[in-house]
Amino acid sequence: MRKKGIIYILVILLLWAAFAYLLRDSMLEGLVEKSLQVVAGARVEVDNFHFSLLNMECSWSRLQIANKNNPWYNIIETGRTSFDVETRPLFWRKIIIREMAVENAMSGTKRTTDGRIRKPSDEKKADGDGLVTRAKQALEEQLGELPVFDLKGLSKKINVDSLVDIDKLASVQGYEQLKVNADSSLDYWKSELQPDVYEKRVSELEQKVKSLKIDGVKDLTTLTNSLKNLNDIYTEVTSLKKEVNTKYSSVKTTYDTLQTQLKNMRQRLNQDIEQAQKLAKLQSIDIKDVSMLLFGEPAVAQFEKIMEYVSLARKYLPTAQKVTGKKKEEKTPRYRGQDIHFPFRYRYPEFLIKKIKFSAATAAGDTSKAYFLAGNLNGLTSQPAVFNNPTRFDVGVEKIGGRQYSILGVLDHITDEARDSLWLNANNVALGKIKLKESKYFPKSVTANEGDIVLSGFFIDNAVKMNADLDASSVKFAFNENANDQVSRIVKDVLSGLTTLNVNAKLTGKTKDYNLAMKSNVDGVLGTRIKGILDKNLQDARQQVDSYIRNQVDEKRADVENLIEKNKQTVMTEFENAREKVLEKYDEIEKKKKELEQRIEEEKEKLKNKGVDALKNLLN
Amino acid sequence: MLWLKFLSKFVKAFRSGEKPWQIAAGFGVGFIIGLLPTLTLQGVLLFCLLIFFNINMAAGTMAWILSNMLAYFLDPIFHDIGFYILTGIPALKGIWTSLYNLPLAPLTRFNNTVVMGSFVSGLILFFPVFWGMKKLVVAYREDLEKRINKLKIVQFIKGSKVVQLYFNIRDFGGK
Repeated sequence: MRKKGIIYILVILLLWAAFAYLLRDSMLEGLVEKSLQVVAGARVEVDNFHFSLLNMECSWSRLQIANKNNPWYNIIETGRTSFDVETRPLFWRKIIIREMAVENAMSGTKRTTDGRIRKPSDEKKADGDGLVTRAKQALEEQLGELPVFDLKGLSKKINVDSLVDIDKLASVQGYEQLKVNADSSLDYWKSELQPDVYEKRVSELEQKVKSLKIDGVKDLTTLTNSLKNLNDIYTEVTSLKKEVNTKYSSVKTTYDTLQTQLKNMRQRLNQDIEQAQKLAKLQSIDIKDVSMLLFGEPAVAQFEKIMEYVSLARKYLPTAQKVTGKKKEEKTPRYRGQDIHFPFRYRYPEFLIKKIKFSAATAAGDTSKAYFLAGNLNGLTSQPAVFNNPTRFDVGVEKIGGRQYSILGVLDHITDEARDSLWLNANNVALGKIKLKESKYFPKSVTANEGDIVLSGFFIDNAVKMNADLDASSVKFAFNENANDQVSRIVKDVLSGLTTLNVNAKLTGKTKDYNLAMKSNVDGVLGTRIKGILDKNLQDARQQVDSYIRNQVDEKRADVENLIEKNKQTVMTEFENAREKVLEKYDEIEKKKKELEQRIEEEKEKLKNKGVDALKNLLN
Repeated sequence: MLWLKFLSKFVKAFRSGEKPWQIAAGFGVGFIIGLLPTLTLQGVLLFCLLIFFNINMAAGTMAWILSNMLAYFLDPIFHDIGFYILTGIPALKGIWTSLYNLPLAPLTRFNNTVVMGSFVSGLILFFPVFWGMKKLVVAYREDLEKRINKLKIVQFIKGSKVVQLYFNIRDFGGK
């Protein structure tokens, strides 16, 4: 053994250990600050960071994360925070925190320095899977489709020309098509009829009958031969009769069809009118629209906020698909070799905090306004699929004076499909002033001093199902002072008498099809009373649209109706003439045939009698 | 100038009082360390061997430098060898899996094909390198030095400036 060597190594190790011991805290503090700054997009400051290698424990006395939108204030400030790190996973460079305790967390505390980071953050608003954007679009469309309640607007002359292009209306296009069909039908049947051909064929038959000279024939043999020829002519005329009858019924069917289509156009016209009225927002008021008009916008804003949080969670807690999808096929880098992986029995994600216990307060300094939060967050990880357990959190929020909230959430991103659920219960909460949708007739805001909220939300991939119930008491609506018309007065009258408010909002949907349904105790009372007034004005406005479109389309309809009728008359008259001649000839030939048959019978009888007489004479 | 010092010490070691096996062992250990592509636990342990035990460090350092240069060209072969050892022998899969689940395993980087290939190659080559170096030292001390010196070409070269430089290097730490 080389003693000198051992001493060298020991000296080097001791120096390294002393150096690391003295500087480790400040080095790690810098590292934590830098990492958190990347996530927060604003300055992060950690005070008195301490790391104990022996116990694998970390702690700090204060952490400040600046608000990137308001950099002179902290978005969060924590008091003493401590956590212990599992040693074993560190060998595989995985950070597993057993339990983290966060004390005295506060938000909105004032900073002494500017918390802005000069380098602009390129981080976009979190909407990793587009859930919020798609739902927002769908809901905005739905709110935009609600009927207008502008009585003045309704009584004004509506410029329908600017709403619809008459030539592009389904009924007008239908009439144009019918016109084309009527013209082409006329051409076709004219070519099929060819009256000269029928006349020629009838006169040919006439000639054939004449050439038989039936009247001058006396003997039976010639009569029989004539009948045979007449039968041939009869077959010919029967076939001609059949042909002309078939064509005649086809013509009739063609024009009957055209007339049916013409009648159907009226249906299309009604649809066009309905569409134009919809474009002019002249839909009839539905009772459920009242809730939507009053509380739709604030409800959508709240739902969107919740969905934004869900999207944020999905961004930072990726699903299995996102985690595995990022992994590219490992190539073999030359000279660096390839890492071969074997079955690994430990489920260590890259980063995991098994449990966070936190207590916090908002509005630092003023305890009467502050909310006190306490809760647990379990299984916060960068790789939920590896951890194989959903992230769960429960937060209790309380305010002096008895206001209580409890929030419970499960973020299950274990599989390819994110399945998140959220429950919120708020008791005795002051809802404060809620701004309502700007409208001439409805109140501009509502203030509720006390209320309970129960909300549940389920988010499975792109599907959303949220339900919110609000029961508020001591409700007061604030009205637009300038609105003094009839509807406004009714709205004011009805809503001023309300002291409680019960609203239920349901948001359901998938991919692009989201639907918000709302109902409240306002619907019945307010809906019925304003419906009467609005419907009358609405009817007038609707009538305007109806008359304008009907007049425009009626001109087209009359043209087509006349054309079809005229064409029908032309074709039918010619066909009837031809048919008449054929039928006349048919009857004539049939008559002649019967006569001839009669004569033959008579001749046969005569011959028979002659024969009998001759036989009698012979026997006598 | 550090490398010159090591070179001088290495040349001196051939004629020093150290036993041939000490020089050969130092050279062999340094040879294995040099083949490893990166700092690993086994590399550190081998380095400790070099320092703690009474084997020639100069020879070890020289071998480390030389084998490291050699490894640069041999890495593709090491990759193939390592890949075969790690994946081509089913009987070993159980051992690798158990090893992979041990906390110290990530420090050895044994699952890297080049690390595995170069380490196994180093261990195998250790014995011929050790044996060859030992023979060389013995031969050098017995008569190889004299025979070399007698060669006309050597006489000629000795007069050249290049060789003067060699002597300068050799005598750098004192004759």
